[in-house]
Amino acid sequence: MPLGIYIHIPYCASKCRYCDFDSVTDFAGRQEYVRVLKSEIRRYADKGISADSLFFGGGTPSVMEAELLAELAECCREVFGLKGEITTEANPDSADFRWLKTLADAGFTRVSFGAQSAVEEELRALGRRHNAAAVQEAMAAAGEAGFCHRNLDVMVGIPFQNAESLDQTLTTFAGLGPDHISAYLLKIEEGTPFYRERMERFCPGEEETAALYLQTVETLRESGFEQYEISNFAKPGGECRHNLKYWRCEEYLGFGPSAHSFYQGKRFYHPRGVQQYLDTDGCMFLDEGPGGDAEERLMLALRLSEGADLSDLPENQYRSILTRARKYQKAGMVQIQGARIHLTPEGFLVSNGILADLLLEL
Amino acid sequence: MAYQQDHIRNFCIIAHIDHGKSTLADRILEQTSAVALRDMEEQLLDNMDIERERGITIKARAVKVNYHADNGEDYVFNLIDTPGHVDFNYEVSRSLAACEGAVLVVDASQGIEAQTLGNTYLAVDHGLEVLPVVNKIDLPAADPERVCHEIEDIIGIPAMDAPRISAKQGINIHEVLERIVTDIPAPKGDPKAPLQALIFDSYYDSYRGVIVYIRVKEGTLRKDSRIRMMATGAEFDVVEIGCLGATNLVPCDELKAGEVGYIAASIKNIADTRVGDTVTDALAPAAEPLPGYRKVNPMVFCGIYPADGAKYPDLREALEKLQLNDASLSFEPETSVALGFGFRCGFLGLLHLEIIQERLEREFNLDLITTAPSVIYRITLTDGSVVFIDNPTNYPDPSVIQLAEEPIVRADIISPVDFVGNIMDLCTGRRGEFKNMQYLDETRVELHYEIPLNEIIYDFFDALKSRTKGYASFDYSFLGYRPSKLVKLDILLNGEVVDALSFIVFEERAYARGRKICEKLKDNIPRQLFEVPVQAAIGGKIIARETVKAMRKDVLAKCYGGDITRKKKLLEKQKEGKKRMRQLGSVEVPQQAFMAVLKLDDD
Repeated sequence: MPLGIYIHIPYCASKCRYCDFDSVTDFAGRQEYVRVLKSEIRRYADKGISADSLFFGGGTPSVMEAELLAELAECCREVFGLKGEITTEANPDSADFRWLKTLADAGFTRVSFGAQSAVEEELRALGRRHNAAAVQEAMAAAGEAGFCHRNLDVMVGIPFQNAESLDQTLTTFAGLGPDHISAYLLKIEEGTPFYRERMERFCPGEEETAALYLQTVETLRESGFEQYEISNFAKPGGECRHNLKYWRCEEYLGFGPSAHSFYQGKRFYHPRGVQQYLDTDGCMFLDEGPGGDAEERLMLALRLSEGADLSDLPENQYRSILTRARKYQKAGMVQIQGARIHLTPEGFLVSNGILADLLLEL
Repeated sequence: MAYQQDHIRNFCIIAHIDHGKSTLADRILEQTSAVALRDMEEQLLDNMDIERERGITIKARAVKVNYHADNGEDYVFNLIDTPGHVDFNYEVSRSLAACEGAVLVVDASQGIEAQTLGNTYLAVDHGLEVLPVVNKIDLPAADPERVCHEIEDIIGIPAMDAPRISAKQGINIHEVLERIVTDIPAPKGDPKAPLQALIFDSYYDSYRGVIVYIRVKEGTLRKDSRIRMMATGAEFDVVEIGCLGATNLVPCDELKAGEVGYIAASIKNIADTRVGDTVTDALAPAAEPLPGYRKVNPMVFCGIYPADGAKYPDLREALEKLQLNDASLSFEPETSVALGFGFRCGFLGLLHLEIIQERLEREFNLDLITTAPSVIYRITLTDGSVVFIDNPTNYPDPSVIQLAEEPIVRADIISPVDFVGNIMDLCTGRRGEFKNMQYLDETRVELHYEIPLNEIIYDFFDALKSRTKGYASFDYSFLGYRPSKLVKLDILLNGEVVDALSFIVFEERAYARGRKICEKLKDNIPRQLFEVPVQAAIGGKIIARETVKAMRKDVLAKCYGGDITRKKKLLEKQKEGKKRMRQLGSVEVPQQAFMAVLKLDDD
């Protein structure tokens, strides 16, 4: 089966106050970084590996010259015979028409904007560089450049958000013509300014955030976006193929610091830190052991609205899961159809607990 | 030293907790040179960790020492230590039966306390010569004069010439030793009579089996003989006999009437060697056993379950091992819908229960869930039959109960007069019936109540201590059964009865108790994915309700660039957390919730 390829761009113009990802604001070394990335990619040459998705994530890929990203995509074509979806993340304020056009011309099919909110006050609290108008401009530019797959990221449960402001964000964004919206619940990670400044004081409470999440699911459904994963919504045909590989437990290779791979049944990753990545010439990996067992597959599949097929499981595990699922079924958190089981939006909200219970005997 | 019956002194030391019994025992051992000073460990006789920590003696111990008296003669002292707690009253009585005299230690500042009285009366009942000793005269608050008067007035034994000592400082210990020689009678008994030896203690040794501590009352016990336990009928070939050195067992060839020693006979089961039983010669048995033997019956019961169901066999093994040294511990398998497989255990009292629980956790490294302690109820059914119920789960339906009776104890409480009101409040609140009150002196008073045992087994002693700034002392003894209005209180989680949380309670108390338990559970059950109603019910009627709110958000929303391991680690962590919980129906209950329910404060 063809692989997915992930390339990490560890650079940002500035750090957002909630962000826990591996990125730095000094990107003077990006030429060198691209060179090391290419050399790492080329190590897989002549192995007959094929790939059908490429994803540039970050960090902020849009702080890189479009030509550099195109070079990397070209490198993947050479090594993996890459065909299909090529996505890049981008910040609305740093992705101008020329940058987008260059990538579209280089065969990129999908762009994902870190839009987060259409409400100025919320964007400022998050420490985002862009304003609401920039999202509209970036979406228009991407459409004009030839991207027919456009995603907007939305954050739910952020400071000062309420039902009304969320509705404004969702309605505004849906009106900009994306075929995909990702809606992430904010999680305040230790070590971030949000954590240090105890920003949770200004965030909606647990009960309210849960309501906001369900509101998101409902509003997007009304706008033609079907939920296909806990945090992902798409118009028909708009699903992100690359991300689906993660949840369907398919294999992928990740390049760059903090990028994870699942290849030939093993999980491994590069440690964080771009400097170390450069110093070690992209050769340092940390091993995470074998991947893809039944527990892992189910844990991932149950993030999807399509859910999991239990028919391949041994009888005792199958019984255990179904027995445990009954109470959630009664509560409207889980649906069971024959050997298929999936979580509802109510279930997604507390999916950590449900998964731990369903998979307890695996 | 050759056997000379009139040069033997068998005695015990009796005292209230902390009045210095163990310290005096140490001094006696030291001054009779039984133990080299460097071998002296603090409080040698109390050799279990828990005993040391709690400052009480759980099991009796005995030791033989030689004393060269001022009259130039050499004497053999057998010092038999007694358990100091009311739970072990029967064991105390058997230790007393092995002695001719008792050294009564009374604290020179605190005077007579509840257990002083209880143990002294017990000693007098057994015909022992009581030798009063006033201890801790070195303390600033000491008032030996007053205490001696108190002993004479209250106990009615002459005490004006009682040795005034400080066991801690080693003051006047010699006087005590001399008085033991002069005041405590030598044992009687015919070495040629058929053998009658009283078992007053035993313990399990993993190499030699049960070691039985005996006092030969009549006849002579020889090594290589065959012995019979008269109550159980079990027979054994003696492997070794001997006397009880301070730090080791000292084998000998024979033990004659009046002597104290041990028997090793490859005995596998401690149940064959019951305290109070009589050992006789199987080939030339005595006609009668010694009087006073009875099988001890547990008074307090509770369910003990392993927190981890897989540890059930470990728990069984641990209980079996403890029972090797403690025949008064009873247990039988029990199944709870909520807790799985465990044991219904019977104890002499609440302290006994706590000690066993603590030893299981500490010495056997087990995590336990203990259900609320219960007494034995006597229920007469409408068909006239009588059943005894020690487990609330088995409590009959009210419609078939003709009469419900509960055990009542006589409680003796001694306290400074200032706290009488507080104590009366407490006892009244515990359904106590006031019987009598007498002043021991101007400052101290003794109260007598009759109280349902049920009301004492939870936290009575703690409540008493906190209401009297720790000054009150307490003793109780079983009186009998009395009719009572009892109901079974059920606790429901998410609408389902949790059998392990049911208990029997006095009807008028049910409402308050039910509400309190619901509150405790609410505070101790973590939020679940569902709202969990916590209810208390009598029969089908709900009398209290609390709600554990549902958890609304617990999700890893973001996919961290293919970092599956992070998710998996979280999943494993949550699974581990779940495994530590008890699944009761659809509700997960942590262990501490069961514990919290057992610790219901009064206020």
